[in-house]
Amino acid sequence: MTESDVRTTPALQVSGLKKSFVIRRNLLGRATARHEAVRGVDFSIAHGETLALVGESGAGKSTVGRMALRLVEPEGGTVSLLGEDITALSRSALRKIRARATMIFQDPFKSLDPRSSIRYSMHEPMLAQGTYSADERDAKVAALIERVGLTQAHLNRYTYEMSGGQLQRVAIARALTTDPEVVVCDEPVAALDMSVRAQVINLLRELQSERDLAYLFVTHDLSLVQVIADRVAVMKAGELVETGPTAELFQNPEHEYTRTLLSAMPASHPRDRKLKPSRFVASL
Amino acid sequence: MSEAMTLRSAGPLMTQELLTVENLSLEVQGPHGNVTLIDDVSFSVGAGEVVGLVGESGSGKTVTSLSVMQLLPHNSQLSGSVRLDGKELTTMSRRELGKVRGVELSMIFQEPRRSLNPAFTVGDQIAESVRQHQGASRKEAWARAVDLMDLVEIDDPSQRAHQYPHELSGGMCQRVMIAMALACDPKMLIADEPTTALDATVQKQVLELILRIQEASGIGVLLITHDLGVVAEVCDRAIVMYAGRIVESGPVLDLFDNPQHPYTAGLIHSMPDVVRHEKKMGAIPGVVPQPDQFISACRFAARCPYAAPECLDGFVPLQPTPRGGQVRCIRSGTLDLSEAFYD
Repeated sequence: MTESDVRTTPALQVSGLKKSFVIRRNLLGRATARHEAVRGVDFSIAHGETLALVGESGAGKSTVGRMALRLVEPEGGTVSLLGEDITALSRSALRKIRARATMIFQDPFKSLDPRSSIRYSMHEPMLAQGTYSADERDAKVAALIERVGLTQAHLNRYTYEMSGGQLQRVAIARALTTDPEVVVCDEPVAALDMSVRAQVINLLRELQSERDLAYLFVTHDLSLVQVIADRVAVMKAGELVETGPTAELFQNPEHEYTRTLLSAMPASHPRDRKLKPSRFVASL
Repeated sequence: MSEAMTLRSAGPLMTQELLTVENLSLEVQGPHGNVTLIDDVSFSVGAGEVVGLVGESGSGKTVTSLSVMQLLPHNSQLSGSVRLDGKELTTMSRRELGKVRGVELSMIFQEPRRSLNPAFTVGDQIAESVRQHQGASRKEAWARAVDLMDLVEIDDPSQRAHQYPHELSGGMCQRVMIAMALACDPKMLIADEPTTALDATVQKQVLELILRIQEASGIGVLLITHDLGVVAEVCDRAIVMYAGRIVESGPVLDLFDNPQHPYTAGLIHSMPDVVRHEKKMGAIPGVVPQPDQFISACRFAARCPYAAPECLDGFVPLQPTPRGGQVRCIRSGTLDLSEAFYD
């Protein structure tokens, strides 16, 4: 591939993704009922772009995020990462790919090992690749921990010694140790306090422009989508019902369900409240 | 809360102070000595009013609500006063409290399914609440439970009453909780993050329901939340807590238009709002302090870009603001907070 090919090839492209889960089995252990969690999802994300995948709980958005990295095996469809079809790759080939596409989860207390120091947690993805020397690893960890706003001293700590916001910074730094091009962020700030949420979102955006990262940003929070996403894909019951550039989708939602979601967004100022304007007429 | 403030309330004129909390402090035994979780908290909620209690985790908002309900661990020491409709709750015996809690003063919690007993049908659980407090017969209580489920807009209540919590969605379970809370026609409802675990569309429905019930019955509602969007949607007044203390309170419109405390401004500016911020979110640096690090001087000073040396000199009292609220900041009035935390 030439340089220009690299730029025009989507960082991540999925088509026809399908997944169902068994919800009931008979006496012999055969599946008798399945829940079709994802029923044919297509999208692509360019380098440096953020696609937000939104929907309510149970819509299948996290499953799609995981299938994009083959953390959950798709039943149908294809996943292409940086132009390479990874749908059928063997486990050992996948391991190499996982350096280029990583994931940040919702709750860093659960995604980071409580028995490992922060230092070890950050070294681990590079150890798994087996291609980094000890000096390289140390240098990367030292640079990244400071880049995400923490200090070298934090490397010697354990998860219980840190706050949720600090740990999510660690999780972000860890996801970047192998210099990925694609990062799947699954509700990365949903577990964080309001005042810390903005810190983490701003950090994710800075890192994206520094490193030209492609984000698949899975969230239920539409208000966040307006500040972070270039494009939005709205998911309902396993299917994408609408995809479009963020501003356009917010101004002219085409699908009924998108409109429902948008109208359920709480106002950001009491003057714009949707729930009981009558109480406010007098005081305005 | 001052007279001026109640009159400025954006809701219907307060006819009476329903819940009055004065100088409430709670101390608990920590591993390294006693820590004060909430410090000198005073506020009131009037009949027909929706008051938001806002803060991040660790701010003391849930501890405040549990203190109001007198639902406290044994190793804790509560001081101050909680009056409901003139009756002092802090000195009541367990028996007397039993006639107030769940009857005049009800509470709903964040995760409805965790608050319900998985082994009984929802109808049984609502009926139990009716029987416990009103001494109705089984049959009457069941009929009342079905009526209550109808009141909270559950479709086909006579069938649904026979279902177990796991058969209902999260939103339905919260409706059931609300039905239980309303079983004895309370005067006051405390809702602790009632919609936090719910999807946005369901959140909207549940908030609508709480407001409809509140307007129909004129009860007072204390809504505890970390979500300023919820405050903007439903509250008449709001109280902002930080690190165990009230830092600001006032009518919501004033609070959002003209926050007086840098922390309030920071919280408001950290809400994503693409129209005003052009894709920028204001971020408050640092983290909320732990209770054993609470100081007597301004607890927000360590994170505050406006902090001056005198902010750490000593205790900062709550002071009335020109617009009828209260603020705990010695520099308030001298600061322009319109661009706070957008660096």
